[in-house]
Amino acid sequence: MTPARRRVLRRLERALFWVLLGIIVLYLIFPFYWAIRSAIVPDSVQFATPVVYWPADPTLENFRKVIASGQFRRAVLNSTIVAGSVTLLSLLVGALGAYALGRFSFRGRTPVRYVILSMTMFPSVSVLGGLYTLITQFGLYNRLGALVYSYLIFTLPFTVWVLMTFFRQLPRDLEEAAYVDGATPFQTFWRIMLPLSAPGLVTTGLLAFIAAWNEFLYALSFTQTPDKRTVTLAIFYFSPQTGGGFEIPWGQMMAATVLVTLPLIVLTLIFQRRIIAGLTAGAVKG
Amino acid sequence: VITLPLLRPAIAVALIFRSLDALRAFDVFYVLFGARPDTQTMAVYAQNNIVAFSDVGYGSAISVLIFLIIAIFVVAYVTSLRVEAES
Repeated sequence: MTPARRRVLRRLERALFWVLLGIIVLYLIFPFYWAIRSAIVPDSVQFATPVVYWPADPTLENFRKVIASGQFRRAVLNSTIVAGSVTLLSLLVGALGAYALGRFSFRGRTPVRYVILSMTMFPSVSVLGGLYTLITQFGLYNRLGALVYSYLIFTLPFTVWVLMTFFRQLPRDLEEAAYVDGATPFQTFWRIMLPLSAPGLVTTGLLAFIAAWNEFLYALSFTQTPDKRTVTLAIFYFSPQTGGGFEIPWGQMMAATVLVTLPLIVLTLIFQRRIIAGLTAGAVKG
Repeated sequence: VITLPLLRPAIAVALIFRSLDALRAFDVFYVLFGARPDTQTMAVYAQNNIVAFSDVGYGSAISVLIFLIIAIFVVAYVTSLRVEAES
């Protein structure tokens, strides 16, 4: 093979690589682009026959309608309450459990770890029947408490597992130094280990929040009336009656979707620095 | 020949996670198609029986079957890829 031919081949390879990359990026970005485009387009252009890829006259009308809708505002409030309390509870309980599982050795620790690991992969529909019976028996049906309770089933094992690996990475010297200074195990945990694991807490908390915010199956199964709906359900039930006609209000649905996704993006951006920051760097002098 | 076999554990984990997710798929199917018999997934079938028909026993039986089917998949992957347990 001559050098010239080899060069052509290599260039062809590069070109193919970029084409493939472009296709993948397009495939991933297009739904987001389409959601935003549908949200800012007036209803008349929504399904116009020469497809409008870039609206000539973008409008915020859909957003205005969605925000004005009491049901949507109620749903955002519900979702915030549920996802917020789920995050706080799973961080609180999860950090305590993770510290115990990660730092203390006791009988049955390995089985407990494996149970928690398997719980993180548990399909949530497989406990739906039991949960449904429990929740109706406890009188929690159609209450936000039912959602908090059931979301903890999948956020808690995940929180414990991630924080456990996080605690195990922290240097033992810090803990020993605290014990030497006369701290009790709980003080060591609360004053030393917990602040040090802030990046881990923020990351897992954020992931738990996103999981609870996006949850659909349990929200659909355990609530009934519109005033208890979470955002996912509210968008799902965006039907002709809220739009005021016989058409499905796609523009408003997409506007609601964009509005609901925004807090997650903002939260990620706010905490990004904390997630990246390694707080233990330089904590122990070697 | 070299890189791919080394990636085997990572691929196995990704494969297991994706299959678990795919087999328990619920929301996209339910939102797009509702609980129609010709387009429902296992999870939609179970949820519909438990909540809409209040047949908790039958729905729970489906749920347990879903769990078993997923377990079969996982066991098949793990044995065929011979993944060593980590940590």
